[in-house]
Amino acid sequence: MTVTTGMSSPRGVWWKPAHRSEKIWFAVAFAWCMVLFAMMPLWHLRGGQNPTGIRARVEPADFRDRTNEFIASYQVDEIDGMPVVEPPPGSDVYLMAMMWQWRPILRLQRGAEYTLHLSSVDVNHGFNLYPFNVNFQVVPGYDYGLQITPTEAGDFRIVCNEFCGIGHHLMVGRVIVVDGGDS
Amino acid sequence: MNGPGTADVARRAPGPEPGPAGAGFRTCPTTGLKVYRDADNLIKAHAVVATVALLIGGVAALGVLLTRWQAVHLLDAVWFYRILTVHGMNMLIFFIIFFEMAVLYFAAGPLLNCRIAAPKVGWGAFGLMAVGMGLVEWAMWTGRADVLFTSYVPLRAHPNYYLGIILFAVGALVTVGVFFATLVVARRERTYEGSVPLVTFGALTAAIIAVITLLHGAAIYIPTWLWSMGLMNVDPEVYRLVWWGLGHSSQQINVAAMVSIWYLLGALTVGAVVLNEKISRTAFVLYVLFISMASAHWPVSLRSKRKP
Repeated sequence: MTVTTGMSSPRGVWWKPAHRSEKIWFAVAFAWCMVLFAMMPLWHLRGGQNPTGIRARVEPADFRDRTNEFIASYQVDEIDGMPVVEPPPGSDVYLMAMMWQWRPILRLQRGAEYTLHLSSVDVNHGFNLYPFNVNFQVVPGYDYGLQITPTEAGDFRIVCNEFCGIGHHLMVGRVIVVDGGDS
Repeated sequence: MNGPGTADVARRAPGPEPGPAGAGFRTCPTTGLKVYRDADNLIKAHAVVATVALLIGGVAALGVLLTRWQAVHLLDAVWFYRILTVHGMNMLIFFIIFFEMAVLYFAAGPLLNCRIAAPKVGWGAFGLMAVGMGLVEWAMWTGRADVLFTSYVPLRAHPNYYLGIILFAVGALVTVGVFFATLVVARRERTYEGSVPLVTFGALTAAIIAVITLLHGAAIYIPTWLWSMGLMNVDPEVYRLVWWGLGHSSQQINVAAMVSIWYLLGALTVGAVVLNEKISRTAFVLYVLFISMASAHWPVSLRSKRKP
């Protein structure tokens, strides 16, 4: 067999031993593949990257009812027409995504544990707690329940990070975390 | 080195400069390859439409850039999202897949000294792809499909948007079929000796990935098209999962085709020889076997998060 370019047909047997440099290159690539491959399950299981949430089907209308009931039960204030809700520690918290708002504004206590239920009543949205790297999909028809414990006090923003129509960039919600004693 | 002459290109070079009149082929003055008229025209047509899509996608990219650049802020929200949709579809679907079809015709035709198996079917498929692209462009530019590239259900576009993508995918699938058929014809008519060239081999892996991609596309866009007309329901989570079978792997066709073209350019520009056919071909095979598995990180990483 003579040498050929990629454009011509190699004749005869071309299954020949590789040059040492190619073997090294192949070994490096293979080793790196294995590292990346191992990272996938490790990141999932050990990296604290993917929490196992409760995931259940829910009719958007039902989720809207639950959210309204939640607001009626624990509303403490109102900012620009948006209810501010302060649920007791340990309770179920409902956050409803819709074009183009997060309803309601949540006031949570630092160090307390809550079950946060996320869902949408129209299209897909994305829950991104700014300035943290916390991201969840919010999908209509699915209730995503997460065990959360706020670790820092402050006034945080929820930015929608899934395109949801023309007002997508205006869809900003609020989570206010207060120190336990203040409330 | 002046010119692309290499040992093996030169081996082919002698021969009539232009093909004999009426013979249905010409001889490429640069490579010495025999180019049948059908292959010639099909390659050109696909490559030209691909380039037009690249132009549209590139202009849209400028629109995106000049809007995100706050000092300029060229477009309002409506046109920003519209142009972002235009950018995604033209770059990631129309440009790359049209160009890949040109690559397939080149790899099975001229590189194997072979005629195209069913040129009329090829032109029909080209027509489907072009009509599909036209429908999608119409829907996007007239504001009937402001849904971005991913078009996650239940964000709804005009039914013709989905129909256009379906026609495009079917056309591309038929083109891949013509490519496979041409490989069979070349083998049967003994238009080459030994194994197919490495570039053809790489194009074949791209074609296999293209089949996987386009079947995913059909599997999700046909129900979504029916949904857009109110004829059935599509679950948003199912949509996301299946859609990415298209979204990821459409880029992987591209990777396989691109690496093949690197080998081609290496040969054409500096006469680069293949160091080891075994290594190069094994790498292509491994890519086909494992890339889809690597894409499966997606359902896992999707809900990535870190606790605050």
